[in-house]
Amino acid sequence: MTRQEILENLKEILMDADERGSELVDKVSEQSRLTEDLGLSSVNMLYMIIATEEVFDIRFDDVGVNEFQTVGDVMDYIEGKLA
Amino acid sequence: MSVQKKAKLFSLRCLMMDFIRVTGALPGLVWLRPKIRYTSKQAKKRLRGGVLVIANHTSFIDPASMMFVLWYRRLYFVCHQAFVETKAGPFFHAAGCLIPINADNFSVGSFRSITESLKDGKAVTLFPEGHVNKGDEMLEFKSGMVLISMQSKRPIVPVYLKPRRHWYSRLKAVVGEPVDITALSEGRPAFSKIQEVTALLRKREEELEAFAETI
Repeated sequence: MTRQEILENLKEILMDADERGSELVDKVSEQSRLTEDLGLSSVNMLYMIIATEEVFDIRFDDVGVNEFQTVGDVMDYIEGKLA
Repeated sequence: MSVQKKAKLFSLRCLMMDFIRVTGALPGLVWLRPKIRYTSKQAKKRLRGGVLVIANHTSFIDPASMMFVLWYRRLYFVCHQAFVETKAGPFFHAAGCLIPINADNFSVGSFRSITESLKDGKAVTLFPEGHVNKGDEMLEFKSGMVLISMQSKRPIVPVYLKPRRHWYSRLKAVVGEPVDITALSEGRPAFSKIQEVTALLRKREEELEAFAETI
């Protein structure tokens, strides 16, 4: 899976993960900060992690939600798990 | 709903928890003189297997009160990690009554330990307001409980604990009907749907609060 495909899948997840939907996803880039720029709460992040596990068929280790600062961090983590 | 597992009847770890329940029962009954009401026959049915129990949180003794409300079950409490670091915390943690979480940096591991406990047939209690609320109105509920119930495919049972005016006041509580949100587990519901269920559960608590006024 390419990095671009990971980003597209992640955008779909983020579309569901917050009530702002497409308005939120339009702003998403690898550099977007999850809390500051996208305004995601810890529950939104948890939702994103659960959905990511399902979509990418991976299992997250015991990481705290704050360990992911940007969308790029999540992509790096997914890439590492898919490798 | 998936097959419900029964919690273990005996285990070494449970011995310590049962010791707390048994030794605390008589003084607790004398002190709290619990008055428990149920909204319907369905609510009065004994809870079996994994169940997520939620309640409003107005006092530090609420976990003890919950033990009297659902006296026939061993209850496991989701609590802040900071509580485990208090003087009493390690005792209850050793007894296996607590599932500590870091509220500032909620971890995937904590989420899994709660969902696994439910899948193992345990009754897990959490206070969705997040902390003790001394105000007159219930705070907004956090949506995490819905994610937990959804992932574990276990129902949520709302309980309302009427705030006690004095240390010697009776414990009055109302138990509502279980809310089954299994339908949400099919596919991936939008977060807005999860928020809707959270709002519904808070409404249920308000109904129980109104019911409690009649006790």
